[in-house]
Amino acid sequence: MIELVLQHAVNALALSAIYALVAIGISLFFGVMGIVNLAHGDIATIGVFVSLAAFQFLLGAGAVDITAVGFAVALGNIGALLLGIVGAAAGGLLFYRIAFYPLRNAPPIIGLLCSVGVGFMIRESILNFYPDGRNPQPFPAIIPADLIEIGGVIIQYKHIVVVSVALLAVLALAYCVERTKFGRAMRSVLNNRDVARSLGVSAQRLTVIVFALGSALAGLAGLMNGLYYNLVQSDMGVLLTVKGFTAAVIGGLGNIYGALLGALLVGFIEALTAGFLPAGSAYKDIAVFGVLIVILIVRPYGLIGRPATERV
Amino acid sequence: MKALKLIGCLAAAGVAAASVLAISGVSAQQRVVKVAYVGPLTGPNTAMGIGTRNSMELAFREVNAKNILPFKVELVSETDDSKPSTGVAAIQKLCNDPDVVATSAHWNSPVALATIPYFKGCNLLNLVSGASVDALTEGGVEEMGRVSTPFGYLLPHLAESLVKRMNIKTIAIIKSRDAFGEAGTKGFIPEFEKRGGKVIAIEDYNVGDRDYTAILTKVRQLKPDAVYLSGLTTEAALVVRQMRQLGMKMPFVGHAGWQTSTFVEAAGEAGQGAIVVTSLPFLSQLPDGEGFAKRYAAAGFREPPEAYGPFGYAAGQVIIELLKRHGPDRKAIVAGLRKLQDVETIFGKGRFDERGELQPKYVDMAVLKGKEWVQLPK
Amino acid sequence: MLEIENFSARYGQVSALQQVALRVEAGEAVCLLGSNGAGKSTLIRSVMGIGPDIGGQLRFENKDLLALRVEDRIRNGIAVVFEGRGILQSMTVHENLLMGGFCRGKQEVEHAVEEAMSTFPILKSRQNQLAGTLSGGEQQMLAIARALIARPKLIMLDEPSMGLAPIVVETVFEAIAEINKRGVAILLVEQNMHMALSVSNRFYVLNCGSIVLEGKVGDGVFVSGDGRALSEEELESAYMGEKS
Repeated sequence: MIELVLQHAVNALALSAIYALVAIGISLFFGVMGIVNLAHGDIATIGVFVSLAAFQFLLGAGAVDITAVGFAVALGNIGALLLGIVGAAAGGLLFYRIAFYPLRNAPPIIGLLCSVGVGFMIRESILNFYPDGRNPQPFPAIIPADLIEIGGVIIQYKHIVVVSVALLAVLALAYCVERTKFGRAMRSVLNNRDVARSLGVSAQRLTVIVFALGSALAGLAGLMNGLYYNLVQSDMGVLLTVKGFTAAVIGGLGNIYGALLGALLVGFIEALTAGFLPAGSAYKDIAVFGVLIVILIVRPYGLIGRPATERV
Repeated sequence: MKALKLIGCLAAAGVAAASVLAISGVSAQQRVVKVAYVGPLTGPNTAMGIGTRNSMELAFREVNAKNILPFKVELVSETDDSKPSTGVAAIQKLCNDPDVVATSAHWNSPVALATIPYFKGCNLLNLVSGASVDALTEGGVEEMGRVSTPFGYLLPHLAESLVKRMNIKTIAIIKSRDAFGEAGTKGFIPEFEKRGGKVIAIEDYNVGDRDYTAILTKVRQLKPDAVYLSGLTTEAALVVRQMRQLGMKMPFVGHAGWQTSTFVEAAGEAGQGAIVVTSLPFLSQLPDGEGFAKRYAAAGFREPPEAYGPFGYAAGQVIIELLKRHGPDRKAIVAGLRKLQDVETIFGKGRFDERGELQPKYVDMAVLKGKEWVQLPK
Repeated sequence: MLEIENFSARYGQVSALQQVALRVEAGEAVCLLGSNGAGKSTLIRSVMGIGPDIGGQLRFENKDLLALRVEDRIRNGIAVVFEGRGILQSMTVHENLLMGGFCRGKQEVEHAVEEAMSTFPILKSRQNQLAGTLSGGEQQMLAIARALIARPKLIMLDEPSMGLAPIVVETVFEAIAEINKRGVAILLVEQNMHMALSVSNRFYVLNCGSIVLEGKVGDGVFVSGDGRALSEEELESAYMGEKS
């Protein structure tokens, strides 16, 4: 029994890691700009398909066996993954410029609706313009399929990679937010936009940086998702948005640690519901949203969120 | 004078009438009759929809080229996006187009179930070429018929093969939480248990889920002889990948719902050895299988016919036969279906039974070897 | 140093300020009196560059302020202390001070922060505490100290006495007087007329978006712009809006 619980915990941790990377972006973007970006998961999908195109190019070139071990191969793989992250950031910025920036003074609901439209555009574009984009496509399994078994608990290399990459990304982000001038500027805007502006923080410039950063993290989440499941499709981002958004709200919008906590909760609730309730897999979303509703009733601003009264 | 005028009038009327006839005669030669295909031309099962549609189109191109009907048959197609709401909208649109005289619609059972009343409402034939839930033709609705094989025929064969041929005694079922997954389970369990098999777990998932490690971890503890997936391609590929990653080596079995080339691509190495009960006869074993394959290849379609292509082609052939016998008239076509006792299709000589099912039905077992689904060795 | 002429500001269709003229000379302490909603805060926000749409002339040391971005206004020597202790509640005291030097170089800022903490010892002892946990008076001191980090030539203070106990208000005003003594010009917006006048050289009274009275303060005597001595009653009635 105990190893079953541990096994579910290992699975949940990998899920949470991916959700966290999405949730952080959604949370920050809301905090800085006041808009809920429901296309965030789809921006992750852009990154995935940019990366997939790079991998397919490497494979198409013929000379490269991307699962082989070697310096050139590793370089190619990392290059393809980085390209995906850059692609997501660039895609995010593009959509920020054409869709969100013109609406910066509009009521938040307009921005939200606009993000729904952006999501549709991204999904349909991949569906129609990416070669064979209508079908799910295998994502290169560059992480060896090996696993470690400790007392009946299976830990795959994938688990280790996904969790450590997410952990590193979050630690790097936390350092930026806590210890750098950029981080202080960002927190000052989250804290009190007017005061931040009066001290010389350009909310506009900050929004651009946060959007690029959040989109890059989403791209990373998408890539981890691709590497973990080895299967990607045009609408994979929808699930990421829903889970990331839920995690961000549970934790408290505008707070990266809240997003992290929320992601852990969502991942564990899902894994435990699916793992221990009879036929639980079908009810895991109900469980997650049930917890979301309860938390919002008890703590309307999320677990570590604060009222948005300071926002002017 | 009066008489003269009268004659003049009559003459004028005669000329007018003659010219009307002449014009209608011309248009009769160019008249186009529309037959519709409705299926997943967008969304997750697009490959299936397009393969079926292309195959049906091939049947019409062939009959048009032979010029044996007094009109041209044109295929119109609509997507149902694998969604009941989209499917209903598509059927309503076709109902309102008087040129559409017959339909072959829906690959997804929930969609096909949802549109039955609309076909009934406008007397339009739905000769199903994909959806396999039995209930489609069990409601006594005259407008419903089917050329493909329903679960009622597949699942006993699957149970029989698992127990007798593969010696599988215990099984875990993973099913999608909709009418399709349900049908694949309900029809299977009694047949399996009747033959001495034991179902030791049933797990539901929601279509679109990506992570199955939780339920697979649970199943892994139970050590079943096989895992049966009652669902569609994307989920089947994800499940088998995650199964193999968790070190679960037992057979992965299912039915034609995910017997697709997309599954082969998406599941990759993990999909090797997957076994399905298939409603699709291997082309090499069909009377006109090889011929169909050649003609399809020659027709220049970009996409392969996929597993259900021959059914699309057969649906086209049956509809052509009905048009030949009853002309482009919705009601006559519907009434004629069950009277069809000697129709030649890609499957050879066939007839329609009281339910509106094309008989005989063909069932076999297939296994994934390399990139191909091949007949499971007897 | 700061010259405001013919200045109007509006929020959408609502006019907040009309034809306001006001100036602050270098080293001077000027107070702008007026009741709530008279448009005082709007004026300060506009000078800082974060206010509503504006018309008229705003000049600082003969530069056109309207052409400058907020960060350039800060670099030219303007700083603001918002009403309601405009501090960054969930950042530490030290971080708040660092933010005061957002537009300045790292070394300079570190030096200035050290200096501010020696001027306000209470801030040094609490530097790692979240600013939101300070008392009201301490928060006001922090806001003032933070404004000083940017080495401004002019500090605009919006209602520094608001919500503070009388004894704390006195401390705050002592600090303001001290800052002014060091040569920093002060533009003080206040409802607390007596406290404001006690540290000011000159005063303006704003009512319903217009200046209704201006004058000098000298040894407890108020002199209007045209050289007439004003009684406290006259001042108060202008302030309350009865004269306009």
